[in-house]
Amino acid sequence: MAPQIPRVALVFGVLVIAFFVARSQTVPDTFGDKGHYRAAFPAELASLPLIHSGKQACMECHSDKPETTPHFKIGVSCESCHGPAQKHVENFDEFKPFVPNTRAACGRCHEAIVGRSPSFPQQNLKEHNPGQRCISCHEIHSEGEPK
Amino acid sequence: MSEEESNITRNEFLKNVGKSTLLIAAGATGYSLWNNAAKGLTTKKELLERKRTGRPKFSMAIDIEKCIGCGLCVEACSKENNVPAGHYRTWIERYVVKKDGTVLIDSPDGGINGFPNNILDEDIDRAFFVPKLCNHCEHSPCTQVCPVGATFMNDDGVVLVDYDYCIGCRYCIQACPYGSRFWNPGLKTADKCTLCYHRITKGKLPACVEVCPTNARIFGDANDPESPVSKFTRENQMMTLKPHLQTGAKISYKGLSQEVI
Repeated sequence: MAPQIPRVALVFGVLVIAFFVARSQTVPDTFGDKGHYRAAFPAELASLPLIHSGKQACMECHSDKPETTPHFKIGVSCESCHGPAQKHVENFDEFKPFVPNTRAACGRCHEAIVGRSPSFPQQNLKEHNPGQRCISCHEIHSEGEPK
Repeated sequence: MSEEESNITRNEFLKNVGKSTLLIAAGATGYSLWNNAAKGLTTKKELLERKRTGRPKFSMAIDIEKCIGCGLCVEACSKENNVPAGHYRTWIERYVVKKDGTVLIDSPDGGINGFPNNILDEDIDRAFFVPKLCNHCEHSPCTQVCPVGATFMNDDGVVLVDYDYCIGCRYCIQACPYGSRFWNPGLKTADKCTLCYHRITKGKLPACVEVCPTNARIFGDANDPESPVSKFTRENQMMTLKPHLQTGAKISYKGLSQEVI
């Protein structure tokens, strides 16, 4: 056997071992278990905390509200108006949800702007009783149709 | 080199090289097959088929006629997912088509504070809002360009970014034909909509769907024929964005105009 062959084989062997060592160090655990990605990641992402509770959580305590809230009956969620409420679900004494009582809060949906379907109830806020709060005439948590 | 070895003819030498190449190739193929079999994935096709059995396929339908451009979805998304200011996982575009055919498109701050009433409606033919988000493509261009496998489609159809493994090369941001990805300056990785993965895996709705006051967004499992999204897509004429790209988008729209596609 030619004398250079064992030397070349040795170098080759060292390179192969170095490759596998580097690979084991850099490829994270669970990578490739289910595909070309780290299989543990979806579970990590799923463990993030909630910010919005969802209306089912609201109804566990406020079961009377759906009956008295026309907006709820047509599919508006509590958190659409009151903001994220998971903190309130976890600690209802310390954290109170947002109470929208300004013209701007109602105008968010009901101000007449270009692009809004004409069938959607909307008002020109500059002309419609300027300076008054919407809730001084319109009852939000009342029975019947939204008015 | 001895005299005997140098007697090998050119023809014989080439034959030997050919044989050893075949042997090495067979060995490598055998190893990769064995390796995949050991991990439980025999072929890519089988892997894709397995993804579709017994697992949900999360998708969303959007009813453009119902969207009022309030921007509550954008705001809820930002709060739910701690999206850095100035970036949006979902956003709303307003299309205003004038009578002369010109199209004005605006999206002030992604629509997070709603839209201003700044357009005179004399010349307007029609105007509408289009909520947009990651389309969670079945054949997503972003996952194909990721050099490290940090972005991928999970077995429930949601395309995710592994924030711990992303190297921040931003290829995916360029590859996305919908502009759904952005650079998250806080995480220093690519970022995008996860369909609120932490919510949908707990049986809740994504934040944008939860707060939408007109139910313009419908969410569910497309593999379940009784889910709201399956019913809605069955009963209506649906269209995806950029269908010619054949990305297999899982977000479909009802009432999508030519100007948007």
